Amino acid sequence: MPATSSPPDESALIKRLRKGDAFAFRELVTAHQPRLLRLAATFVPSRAVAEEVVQETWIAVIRGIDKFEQRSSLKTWITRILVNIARTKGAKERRTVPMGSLLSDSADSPAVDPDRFVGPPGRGGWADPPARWSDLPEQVALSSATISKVVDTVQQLPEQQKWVVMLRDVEDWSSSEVCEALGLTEVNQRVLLHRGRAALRNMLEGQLGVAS
Amino acid sequence: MKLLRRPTIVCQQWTELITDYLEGALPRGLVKAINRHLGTCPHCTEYLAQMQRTIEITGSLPLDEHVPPEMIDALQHAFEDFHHGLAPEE
Repeated sequence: MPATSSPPDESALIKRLRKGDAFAFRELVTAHQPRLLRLAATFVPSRAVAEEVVQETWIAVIRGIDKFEQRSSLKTWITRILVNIARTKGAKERRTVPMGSLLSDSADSPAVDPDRFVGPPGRGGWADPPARWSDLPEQVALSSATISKVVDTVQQLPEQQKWVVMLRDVEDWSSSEVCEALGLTEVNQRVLLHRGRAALRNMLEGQLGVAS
Repeated sequence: MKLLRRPTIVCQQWTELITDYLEGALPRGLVKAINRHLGTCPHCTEYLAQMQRTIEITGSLPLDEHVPPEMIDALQHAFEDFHHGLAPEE
């Protein structure tokens, strides 16, 4: 949901949760769990740790629902809690992981290999243009092989790019929601989104076959 | 007569401006220059289509449907405990 639309009216549900309606809570957990696990699993090294992150998120929801001000949807609020917990955990894990194995967010690489252009550096025209994807059958584009490559590529993105791509393109957050949750400027957010999306497009170009 | 030079965009520049373009973060003059370029360059138009398709495919990442029922049960218990005055474990 973009931040521009006002959050849905969830007062009735929130009231039930505050009153201790276990059925309402169970429904909420069941509805959000697959999405929260997908998000958490992208940022932590194992499924077990992802479950831990999600578990901790719900405990924070239980403790915090009384103070929830409904300035965002329940969904966004819960996801933000998860983002904070996963980021804290990630920072801890990184202290124990050799730094050399991590790609840097600041590595400045072009969106497309410069060798694919002819002309003055930075102002070239296509020498090796992109092939037409619209000719591809839908089954190829959305095959399980393609999707699992996308999962791999997202997982290998540098941390900040990964958060921005996951929140913007998978969770459908607005740029201002992402900036607020991650403490980024709009410009920074766009740079990270640009690099992440470019990496994904490059991978898909290889995966979907370049021959035209 | 003053000749105003209209900005021009070439292919390689477009591949670096595409996100700002899609995010609506570019000044009008540059957007117009890009639109003019896209009007004449099928490769850059294809690049735009590919980027849009990439965003769409990324958005279809599968949910994690393997939610153990014990997990849901444990959370429900934590919720009930909290409302019965027992603080859930950190």
